[in-house]
Amino acid sequence: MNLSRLPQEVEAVLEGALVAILTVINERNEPVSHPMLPLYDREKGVLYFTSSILFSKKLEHIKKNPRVSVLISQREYVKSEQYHAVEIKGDARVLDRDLSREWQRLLPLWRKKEPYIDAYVKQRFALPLFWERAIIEVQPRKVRVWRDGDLEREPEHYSLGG
Amino acid sequence: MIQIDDLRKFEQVAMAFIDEDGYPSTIPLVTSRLDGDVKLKLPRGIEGGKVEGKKVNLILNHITPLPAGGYTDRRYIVFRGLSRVRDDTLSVEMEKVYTWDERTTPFPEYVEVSTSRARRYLEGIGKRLGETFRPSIGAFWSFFRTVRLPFLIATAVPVAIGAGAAFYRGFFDPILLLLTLLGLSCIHLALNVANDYFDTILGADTANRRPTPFSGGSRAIIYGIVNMQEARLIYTSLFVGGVVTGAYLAVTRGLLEIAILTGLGLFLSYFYTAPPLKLAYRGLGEVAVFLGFGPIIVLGTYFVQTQSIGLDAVAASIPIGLLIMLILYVNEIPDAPYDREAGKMTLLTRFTKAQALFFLAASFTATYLSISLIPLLNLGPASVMIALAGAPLAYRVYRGVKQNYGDPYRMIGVMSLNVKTAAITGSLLAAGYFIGAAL
Repeated sequence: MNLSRLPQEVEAVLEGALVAILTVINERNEPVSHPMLPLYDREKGVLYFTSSILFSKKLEHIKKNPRVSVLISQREYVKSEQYHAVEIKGDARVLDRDLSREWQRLLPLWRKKEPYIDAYVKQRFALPLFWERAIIEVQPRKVRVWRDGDLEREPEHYSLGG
Repeated sequence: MIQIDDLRKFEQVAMAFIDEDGYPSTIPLVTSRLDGDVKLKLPRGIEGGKVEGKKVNLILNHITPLPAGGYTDRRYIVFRGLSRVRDDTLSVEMEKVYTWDERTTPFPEYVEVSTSRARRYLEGIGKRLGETFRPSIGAFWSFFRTVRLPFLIATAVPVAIGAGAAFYRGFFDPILLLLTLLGLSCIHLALNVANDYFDTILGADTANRRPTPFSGGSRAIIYGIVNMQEARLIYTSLFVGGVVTGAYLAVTRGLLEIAILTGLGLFLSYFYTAPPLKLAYRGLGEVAVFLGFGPIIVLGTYFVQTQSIGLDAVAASIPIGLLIMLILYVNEIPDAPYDREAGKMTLLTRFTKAQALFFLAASFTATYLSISLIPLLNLGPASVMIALAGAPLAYRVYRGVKQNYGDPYRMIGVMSLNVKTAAITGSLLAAGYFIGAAL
């Protein structure tokens, strides 16, 4: 099914997810997976991650090959009323021109998932390199949904234009 | 490959592979238990032929969500290899595994071992954009971290004791006291930066994978907050500041005595880590700190006020010298394995745990005994005995060190308490002299 934006119930899962598995492609065309905190901007229909430059290998991989996939599964990791297992394939780009400040625009989304984050940010002098962060912006292209997280059920497929 | 026990530790099981459309695909897996083993199955909608023989990542992940939001207790394992699908069952011929469990590799250590990657990334962006990038924590925090500002308490307290002992004898000039504090602070901060500079060159700070706010150096050079040239400029400027202040006090208050004390202080501060002497690398760091922060600071402050040196000032300097030495000593406990690796043979690298605890207990005992002896030997007022109120704190430090020995992160609270013990005991000792003079 072709859609202009993600289905609402998928957006709810993205907004409630505490962890997602982000898979990028390395220089040998192999998948490399990283559990990360997903941040979803419903207004823009874009999925974000922030990555410290301490763990920057994935950033280099995305710069060379922007194709990524994101999995959200496991009921207890999703704080939303409805739960579905969701896989998103998309095109990513790395925003790293201002590593010190740019990611802070995502703090309102981050705060909703980790309410204590501001206390850590205030202490950024304690882990200065950790708070030098790039933004990974993922534009969803294809979505696969196992409704209610039932993996024995045929998944629904959606494509997004763009 | 995956045991039942793994499923207890990791709820989320997923697999990633490169799909026909060129995108990676990350899918959840169905897990079931079979004859004591774990069976992995593809979810509905993914054909076995699609993944058979492909390079895949098998991911086992865990977090513990917190009721108030957020999560803790992160761990994951990623198995990389070729996938095989037989009779509906998936297996992976494992080639490589990467894992992280924050219980075994605490997050600060994970951060620390990744520092060089972050520095390379910053350099790469710098080259791309034609600018120099460094961690942005602001000028104040950069200075705060680089010079280790909070440790100035280790200078302020002995200065207060020297001033108190002089006041008890009827001497007190606040301007001279401020100048003394300024000069000594410059030398102390210079010592901190020079220590980082030479520890970086000699490898002790670089080897340390578990630094804390109290141990492992300031990390300012390692994190790229300042570069080596800047660090050298900072410690040189601070040493010059100390020398100029010392020279002024020497000219106005007593050339020979202040020149000797300042010279000794500079010598110990610089060669604490600097080659060829590298006192800290030879197990002499504790002696250097005892002399520098005890007799040299207390006698210097006392002399500037009174233009004389007496046994009373020497007696006043011993407890605080021991306490500041113990700040260094306890802070070196978490560093010991890395110091040994880098050839920095501090006392702690030579001691067994029992010996280390004995030295700690003996030094604390000597500290409070030396305070008791001040009035007994008629070298100060009886009111200095209020400093004995710090003894229970010292006992708590001893107990904390004994319980948490060798665990840097669990020792953070103990190291903090140890600094407070020195500050409180030393301040009470100084107050004892002022009270004695007032009575």
